Amino acid sequence: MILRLGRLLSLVVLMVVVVVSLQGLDRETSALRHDERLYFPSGEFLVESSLGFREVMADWLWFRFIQYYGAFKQGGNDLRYLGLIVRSINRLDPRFTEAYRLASFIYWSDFGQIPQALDILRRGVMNNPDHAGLRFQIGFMHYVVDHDYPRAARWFEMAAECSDATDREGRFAAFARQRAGDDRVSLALWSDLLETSSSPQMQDLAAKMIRKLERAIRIDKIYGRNFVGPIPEAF
Amino acid sequence: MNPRHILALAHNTYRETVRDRIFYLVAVFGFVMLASTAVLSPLTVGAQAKIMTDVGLAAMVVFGLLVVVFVGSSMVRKEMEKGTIVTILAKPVGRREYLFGKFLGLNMTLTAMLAVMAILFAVMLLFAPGEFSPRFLSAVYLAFLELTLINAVAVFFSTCVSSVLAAVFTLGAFVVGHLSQALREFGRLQSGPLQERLADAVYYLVPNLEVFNVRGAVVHGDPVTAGHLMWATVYGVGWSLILLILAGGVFARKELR
Amino acid sequence: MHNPVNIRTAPDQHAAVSVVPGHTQPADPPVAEAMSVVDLTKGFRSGLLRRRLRGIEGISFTVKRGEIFALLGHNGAGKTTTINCLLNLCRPDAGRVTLLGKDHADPSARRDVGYLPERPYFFEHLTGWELLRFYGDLLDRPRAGLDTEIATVLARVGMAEASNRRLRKLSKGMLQRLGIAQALLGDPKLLIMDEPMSGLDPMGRRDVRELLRALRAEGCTILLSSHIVPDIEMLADTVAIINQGRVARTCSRDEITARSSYIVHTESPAGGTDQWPGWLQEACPEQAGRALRIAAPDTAELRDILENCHGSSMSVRSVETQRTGLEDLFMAVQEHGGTT
Repeated sequence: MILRLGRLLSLVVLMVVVVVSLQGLDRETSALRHDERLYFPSGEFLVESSLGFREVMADWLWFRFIQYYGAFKQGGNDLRYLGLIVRSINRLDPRFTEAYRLASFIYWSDFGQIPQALDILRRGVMNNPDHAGLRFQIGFMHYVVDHDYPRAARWFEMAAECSDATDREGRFAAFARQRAGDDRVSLALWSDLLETSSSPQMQDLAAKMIRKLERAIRIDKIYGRNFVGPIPEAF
Repeated sequence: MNPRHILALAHNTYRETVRDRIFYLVAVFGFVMLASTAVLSPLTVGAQAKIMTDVGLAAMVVFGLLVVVFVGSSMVRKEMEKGTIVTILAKPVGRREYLFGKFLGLNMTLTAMLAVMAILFAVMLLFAPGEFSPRFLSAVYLAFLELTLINAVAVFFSTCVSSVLAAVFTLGAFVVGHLSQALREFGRLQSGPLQERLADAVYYLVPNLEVFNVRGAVVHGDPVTAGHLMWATVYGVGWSLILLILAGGVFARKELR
Repeated sequence: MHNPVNIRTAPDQHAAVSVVPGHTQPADPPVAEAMSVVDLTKGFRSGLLRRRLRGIEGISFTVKRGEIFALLGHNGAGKTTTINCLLNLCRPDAGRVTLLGKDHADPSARRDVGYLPERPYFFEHLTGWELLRFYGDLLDRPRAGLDTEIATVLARVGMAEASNRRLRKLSKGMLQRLGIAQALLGDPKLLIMDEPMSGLDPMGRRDVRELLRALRAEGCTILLSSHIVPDIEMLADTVAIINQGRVARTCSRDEITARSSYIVHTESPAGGTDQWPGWLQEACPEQAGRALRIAAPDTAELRDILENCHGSSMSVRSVETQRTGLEDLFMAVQEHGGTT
């Protein structure tokens, strides 16, 4: 009985020792944590060392990437390894499209580095030629950041041609064309949407936009582009 | 070769691994792995279905590999050391029949394991923002072929060396099998023809396990062609038979006592 | 142990034997010897320098049908190596072995051979029944009657009630019995048993001796190996004493049966040796002073000597009994070595 109590006591003491030593280690290593370390040289290395589990390795890196970004948002780091991590994920799983999109968004929103943001998306498009979302995001950036509506419209149109495209890409292409002054192209895009869309709301919107554009084209034809108004009721 | 002998040995091996606790531990651990992807879902940020599928398919290969390495590589050696092999081979059983029966028995275990894991995987996907697609069965089938080949490697090494060395060599074969493509490409980048030939020799003389890896393709929706499945089957079965024949040759000359 | 069911109908080596009711095996072609071993040699190599160690050398013997043939030798003499070579568990360097007329390397030669290894080790995860079923499949026993066969051999070795227990829960003695059961499965014509009494208590050893006698009576040929002399003395028809990897001596039943001889201690009659009675002079006793020691090789001679002593008025001080048998032969071989 005494022996058993003694053994129990020694176990408890050892557990306390272990917990205290771990806390001590945490204190020691936290001093080093501001120095970030990334213990792999490149995505190429990871591809070979993953031994056929490339996608799972990419997923694991993705988790680390999310945590890394979360820590950045809390002021824990400066995201210096963002490029390496993203390139590694892309190299491990070139078709992991979420990685391109989030990384691009971070470069754009957190650092204002538009060229880098666009480069990542273009890399994604090269690896995923039939993915609508990546092309849409490029078009969106041109639309919102550059206000380069013709370029944005081209990207939206390319997105709309992808096999996984929805009505959204066509809609944005049409809007972009209209903003670019290409009413006729915009009209054609809306007409196409009216025919192909299965959504009643989209069809209503398309019909409304077609009427509006047809009116604008008629006014433009009769009165010229610089006409100010008022427009007669007949139109 | 006597089919009844082979089936009796296979059934006995299967029964041994099923009654051995390691099988249950691996199955439970596999289930925990799959379930953990649900716990990590807040970190997936829109990629939950992809990640669950990646983890599920990879876990099948990893746990199958663990069973082959730890059970398969010691199968023959353990029986030689304990002496159970003696009462078997004192019966009218050929040594090649014995080896083939052990190999088949472990394959039956792998089949059962993969079937259980595939069903769990399908059930997990039903609750996830994704869906189980028939093309995942291609990935499971090719994983089975890959594990069959590694099983043959393990049986071969278990006739030659100790259990520990056989496990190490089997794992080594898995590593080299997944690097053989890269080694070949590396050889082609070298300037000398000798390096290129050497790299080619390694490529053809070492089983290329990457041919069974279609996990990325099925996750991203690419179909696995019937041609690929057929050639992979021929390749996997062919290599397995080569290794079993070599193992039979070594084992025929082995002193059992 | 009892044999509730007679497996063999008659100890006729050429008759068809019935194991399962209604099932008859075809009779084998007549073979005079159950086993023939000629110049069997096996060496081993050990260590980094691959030093050659002697295993067995030039072992030759013949086992007649229906007899119990024993290999007797100390630990490390080469008995188990010999048996391993017989069953092709290790490849001999030289020599020729036939089992029931077939070359020992042919797997089919072992179809009618039952083998009990020295320290039987079976699959712990199986029950006794499952183990015997497994071996029954390896012996190509007909599935229809296999359960009956298994029940019979288990009853014969006294393991019927423990047949559904996992082997890891069985004692050493029970495992030994199960080992004997698996050796008996398939109604073998030749049984090879390495230390069959190992791990058994005295009652178990008696049961095994009775079983082996019963099997011999049924026509089974038995080769058994042991270093326990009394067991062999009680069972064997022929004994080969193995010493340092060679057959030192082969003995028949008569030679190994323990015999008693006697020494009669008496006093010499008065007068010199030339005045002794004729029978005493012929007996040539050893003399130390007046004490005489007269040797009598058997009880008949002893009776004659005692009568003669009485008739010659010579007082008999004592009669000393000396037993000679297999152990003496064995010890003589160990001490003096040599082969025959």
